[in-house]
Amino acid sequence: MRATLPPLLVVCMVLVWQGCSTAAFRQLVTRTEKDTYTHTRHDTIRTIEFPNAPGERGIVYPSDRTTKTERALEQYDSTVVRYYPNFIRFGVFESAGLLATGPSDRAVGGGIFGIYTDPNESFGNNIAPKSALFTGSMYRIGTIEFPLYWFDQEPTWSVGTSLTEVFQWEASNERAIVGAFPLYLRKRYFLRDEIPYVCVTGTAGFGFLPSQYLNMAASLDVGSLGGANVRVYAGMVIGRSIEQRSVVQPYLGFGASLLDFHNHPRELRRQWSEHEHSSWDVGLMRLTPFLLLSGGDTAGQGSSVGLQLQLMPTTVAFPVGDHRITAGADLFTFVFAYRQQQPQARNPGVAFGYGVLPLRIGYWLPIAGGALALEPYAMYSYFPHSMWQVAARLHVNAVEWLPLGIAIGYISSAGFSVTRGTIEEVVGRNILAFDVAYLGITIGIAEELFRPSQLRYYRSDR
Amino acid sequence: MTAALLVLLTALVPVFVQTVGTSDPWRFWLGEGTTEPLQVWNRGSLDAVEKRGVRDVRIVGPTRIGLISPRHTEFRLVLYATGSAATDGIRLRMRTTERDYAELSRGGIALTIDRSGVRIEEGTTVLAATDTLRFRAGDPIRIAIEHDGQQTRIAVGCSLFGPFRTQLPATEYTIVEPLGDESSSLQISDVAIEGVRD
Repeated sequence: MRATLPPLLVVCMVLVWQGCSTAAFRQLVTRTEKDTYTHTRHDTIRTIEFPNAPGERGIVYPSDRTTKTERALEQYDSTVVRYYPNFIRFGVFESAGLLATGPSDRAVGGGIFGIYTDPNESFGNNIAPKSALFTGSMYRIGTIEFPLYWFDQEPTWSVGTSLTEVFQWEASNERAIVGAFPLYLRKRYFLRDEIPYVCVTGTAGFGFLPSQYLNMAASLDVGSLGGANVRVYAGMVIGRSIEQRSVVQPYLGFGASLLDFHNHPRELRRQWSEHEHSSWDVGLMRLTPFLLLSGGDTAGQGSSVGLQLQLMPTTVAFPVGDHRITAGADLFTFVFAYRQQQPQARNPGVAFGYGVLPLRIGYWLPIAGGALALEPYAMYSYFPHSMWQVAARLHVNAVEWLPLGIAIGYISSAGFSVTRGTIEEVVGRNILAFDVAYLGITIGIAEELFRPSQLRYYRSDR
Repeated sequence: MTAALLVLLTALVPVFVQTVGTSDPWRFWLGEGTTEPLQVWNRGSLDAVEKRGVRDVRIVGPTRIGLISPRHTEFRLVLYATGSAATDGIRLRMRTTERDYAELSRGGIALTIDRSGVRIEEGTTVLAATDTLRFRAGDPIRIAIEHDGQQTRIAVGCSLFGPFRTQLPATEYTIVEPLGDESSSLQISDVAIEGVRD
């Protein structure tokens, strides 16, 4: 009994967190309209009584008549509640690679989208200068934009903020600009009015802490499609860095974002239930603890249990055929297969894989109207090392934003090496190549599976 | 001092963004501070509807507003309507909602007062009509409405119409439409409301 309490407690905490976060998130991004109707079915009862007059009265004798009118209401109210999105943009993560923001031999080296960092420097802040084309990076986390009606009535203007944004011009913090809750005004000019939208966005942003700065920029935005966007940026930041050095920095860059949803102004007047979706599946995180079926550490005596963690998995319906062919990506994928158990080894290896924006292609087969879905897929991760996976997953829409599933698959990883940094500290230096088959359960955190009826391709009103 | 100001500004940004971003300039209140406030929902352009006083609103051009009583579906409502020379009249729609009217074409009970007289209709059925009461530019018209159960009573000036018995449900809405072109204007003044049952 005691042994079951901690897992139950964890499950309860996850459910409570899920419920609270779901409710709070819905309240933040939803506008509610309510109409009340009062139906009156019966509002007057009229009883007419003709008492018989005593005796013989003849034909023309007036008879008594008593009319009793009672006001007896039988009423009920019916309420119609409608929910609309009230945001122009809600984004969890956005990043960009910036060109020519510093000397080419002092680059951050985050690649075209600013997130292809050296595994020795991933998830850490100790970045060594290197020679690269994309010298700088920009990151924005937790962005929200609401419509602003001050300048026009179609909300092509927006006011918004982010939890944080970072402009890393080069591999040092001397000129880095960091803002917490910067204030942003944006104006969008739509070049394409259909999903995926294409728009030119003018931006003015003000950051107050820890850097004080003004960011004037324009961007060409394409998206969102299942929360995925790509952007081209041009702008200038004027201000003081986190080390209080004056910065005047023009920039040009290319960016991508996941879990970054855009609403056209007209979509603010469309109910959530009628909203157009392009994805079969989007989520914040997916955990897949798995049992190794083959390919584990045969020398070891330890448990053959591994884990796959996908951050921001997105599965977009490919607009061909019956739209069941899917294309997808994660922001990051981590696979922990096993730890090598060799008592004589001084530095046991870890079968570990790590991918940045790995690509997936698959087939989505909805079952029972979409309550279940079978997804065979292949994944290829090309950075920082080669890793591929073929798998099939059965999704079950168990709890709202908490889908569960079963997965069976095969992962092959080429392995890679690190000498320092967060991965070296957390995982280890000796990272092994591995080929494993697995059977696991999947747990989606803040993940939503969409039914065919919710996808815009299947809507009859298109 | 500067640091405190920067902290304050940073802390105020999310509050400012949410307050400004979730505000709805198409809605405002009449009679706020009273026991029976009435919400106005502007369904046209922002500059077409203007709040002129605590209980007064001005409508310019062929648009419409919804007067919403947030606490009652069965109520008595009274207002004075005064139109300009370019205004042809006024139409009130009752026992419907803005969405039902705009998206589902459910017009409810319509009271039309124009230069040819007064008509009260439910769908295609004319409930009452007269040509002795007419809309005149500059003359305030008093309109009173009572929704009680299945019955609706309407008074235009001192003339009473109804009660009309209807199967339409009572709603929180009274939709006001000026009749006329872009240059017309209609002043709705002294709007007051009370619930029938409390």
